[in-house]
Amino acid sequence: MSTRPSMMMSAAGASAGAPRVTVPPRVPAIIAIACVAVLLQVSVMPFLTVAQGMPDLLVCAVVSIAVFRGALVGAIVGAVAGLSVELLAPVGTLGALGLLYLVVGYALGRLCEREGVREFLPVVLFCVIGECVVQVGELAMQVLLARPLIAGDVAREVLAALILTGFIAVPIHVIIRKVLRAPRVIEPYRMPGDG
Amino acid sequence: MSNSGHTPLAQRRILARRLIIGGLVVVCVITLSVFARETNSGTLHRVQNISGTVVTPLQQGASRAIAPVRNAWGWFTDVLHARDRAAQLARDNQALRTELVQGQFGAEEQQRLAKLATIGSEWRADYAQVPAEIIGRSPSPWYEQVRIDKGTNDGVIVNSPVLGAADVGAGLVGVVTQAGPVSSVVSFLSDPRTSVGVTIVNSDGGIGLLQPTAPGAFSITGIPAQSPVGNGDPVMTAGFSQFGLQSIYPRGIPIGLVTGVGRGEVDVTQTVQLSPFVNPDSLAYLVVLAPKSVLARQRAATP
Repeated sequence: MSTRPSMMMSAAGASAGAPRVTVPPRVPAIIAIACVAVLLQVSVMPFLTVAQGMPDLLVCAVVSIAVFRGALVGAIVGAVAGLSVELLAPVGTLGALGLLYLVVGYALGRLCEREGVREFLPVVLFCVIGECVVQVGELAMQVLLARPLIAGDVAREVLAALILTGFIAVPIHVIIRKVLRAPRVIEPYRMPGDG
Repeated sequence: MSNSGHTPLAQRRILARRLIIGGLVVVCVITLSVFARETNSGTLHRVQNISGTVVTPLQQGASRAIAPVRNAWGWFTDVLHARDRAAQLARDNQALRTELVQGQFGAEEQQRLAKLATIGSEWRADYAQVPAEIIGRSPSPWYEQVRIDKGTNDGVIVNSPVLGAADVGAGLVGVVTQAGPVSSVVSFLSDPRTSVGVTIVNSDGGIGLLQPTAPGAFSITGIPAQSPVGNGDPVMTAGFSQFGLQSIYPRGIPIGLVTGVGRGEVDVTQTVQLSPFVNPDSLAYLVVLAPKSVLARQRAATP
């Protein structure tokens, strides 16, 4: 099955007289990926802990979708998936994870749009960075809630979560690439021939 | 960032994109604020509870599906630990201390029974013990909550005390904070919003308030300075909290052992450090004390 994008003439491209590379959005596939990621995150991942850290499958899914479908889709998927996790799992907040995954999806999606990143290694790095953002955000939330924390335990848990997330990033990225069947979209704000 | 070089279509797309992102951020922030301000019976908490109930069957299935992996991992770690001679000796020591603790509890009970004609809050009589499996844990290590597979259909209600098994026997681990028909959410004692009125055995009936100070560590405040408290003294629920108010926890549930005592020269109270009997992170099953007497239901209804 080819992963090359289909060539279509967009409205803007037609008016400018230039072809525009785009891909079918495959919204059902994106929704399915998000649903599966959320369900696995709340059902399976909490039981797969090492050194009190657990892999964040959701951040890998959000980053991969953002890489393949851009910052806007990444942000929407991140926000909805984060809120869904908070609704389904026994966590003490509602809205915090949604906001954090939204930031991850948007920021890393935007970076990929600008820099044209699609190789595996940067994507793994992005997943680790995204997980780092989520962990730091949640840590800040705990500080705001005046929860007592021990620096050593926090460092161990965060480090374990980052390493485990890095391990699962590649297989998740490969699966999502296979399902979406296309490389990411570079949103062409500046069209060829715009001057 | 200037958009002057973009086509009108591209500018509209940028505007729409910013509106969508901004809208999502606003929704998340408002949700976060409202959720933090409302009580456990608020609308968003109810929505969260209903959503959790809907996925309960799925979580039960997932929990059972990965049970072999979990057990294998537990076996592997147990083997490693079994080779550690020091750990083995520590367990033996703990088992011996169990007998001592149980003996002290027994002596305390005998003294109370001798002095009082009726106890009234005997937790073994006023509550039904409902075994429950942990089917969902927080996907983040920062939150001290789990979902169990028992709910209001099994007699579990909000504010039901929850026990866990440990080497030294059962100990208090938390309380039910959300109850659905087939599942409930348990908040552990390490949740910073949790506090328990406690008494220390052998301390002349000193009453204090137990609160978490760090993961796995607790402190008890309010114990009178003249109360004799020593390392290794068992701590149990007092049956009431500060100012003589009724507690949601009945009297006599073991919690842990005193590990340190501190007070200044002029202090009228002392601060006591406690190590709990039960580490909730390692548990797969819990026991919920479902109220069955009128008194127990009144306790659970305590605001």
